[in-house]
Amino acid sequence: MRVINLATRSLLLGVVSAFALAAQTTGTSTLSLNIPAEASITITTPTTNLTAASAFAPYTGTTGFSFSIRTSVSGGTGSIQLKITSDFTPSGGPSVGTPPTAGDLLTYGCNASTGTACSGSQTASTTVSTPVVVFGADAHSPTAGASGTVSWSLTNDTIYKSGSYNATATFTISAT
Amino acid sequence: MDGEVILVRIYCRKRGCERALEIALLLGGLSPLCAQTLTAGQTVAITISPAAKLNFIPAALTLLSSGSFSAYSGSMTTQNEIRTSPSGAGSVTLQVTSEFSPTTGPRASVGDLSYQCTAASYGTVCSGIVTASGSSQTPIAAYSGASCTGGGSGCSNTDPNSVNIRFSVADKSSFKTGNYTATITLSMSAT
Repeated sequence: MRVINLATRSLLLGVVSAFALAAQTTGTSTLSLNIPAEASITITTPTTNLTAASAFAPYTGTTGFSFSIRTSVSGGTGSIQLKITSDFTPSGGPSVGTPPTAGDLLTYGCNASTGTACSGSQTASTTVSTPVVVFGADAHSPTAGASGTVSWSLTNDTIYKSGSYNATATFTISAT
Repeated sequence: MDGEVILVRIYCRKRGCERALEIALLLGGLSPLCAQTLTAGQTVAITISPAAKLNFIPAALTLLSSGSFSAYSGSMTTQNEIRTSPSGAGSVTLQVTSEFSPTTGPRASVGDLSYQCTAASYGTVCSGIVTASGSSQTPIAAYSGASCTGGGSGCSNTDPNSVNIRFSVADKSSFKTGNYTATITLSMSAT
């Protein structure tokens, strides 16, 4: 009798296996990321030519920039500032750091699609950064990016020697 | 048949011996623990079924950004074993089973999470950039009929098989700052 039982159990095992024709299994994983305050800026007109509309009229021109920004939900701030990091060269022409005549200025006005642009006329400096745009807490530029402009105006002093002059303005964006 | 019954009774009166004999027969070839010699006229049939096993999937993966408004990314390697029938198939798929939380950041439901299958030791992996979904399963790897794991010769050369997946989350300026988590589920099947 015992031998018969063994045979019966073995055959049943085979039948059960034949029906197990599909298998499935799963596993999970948690994806995590930390999104910080951050900002980026691109100058869209790397070289801005300042031109005078008429004799001894101020030299003017516009620098464009695009930017993205995200500030912290609580207590965050952000800004775009500029500084003249390389004064006009060669010498004999305009100068931001040491103007040949008192009152010779490089000034600018601001415009931005996101944030609060500087108001009125700002005077550029070689020693301190000056405001272009400021942002409050939980500020977000559009996903496609925001844009802005700085409109320059440089005194056209008769004392300037004729020639071409170059200066570098550096824009800095920050977010906390 | 009567003779076989007698043999069992002689060598295996105790219940413990009877169980040892059963095990030996089912495994088809191991020596019986109690009987020195036993001849049984019995065919042992084994059906090898399709099987799928996810050996390893990391419990957690942190996605990092390489710079301001650069996508967050991270890679994981999963391991599996598979056996398909000659006319069967197998697959590994992915689904976002828990949306990013809190809701002020990326959302898989709008396509913020994507992945690429960067390498696989066996099978055919997904091609291009795949947008992960919370409502449907998206492909990771596919296996044809008669797939098997390890040993080469038509089976994979390695055991287990591995698949590398590189995840990416867009870094949109519209996301609020903070920590975000989502859960993905990998499913593997074989027929």
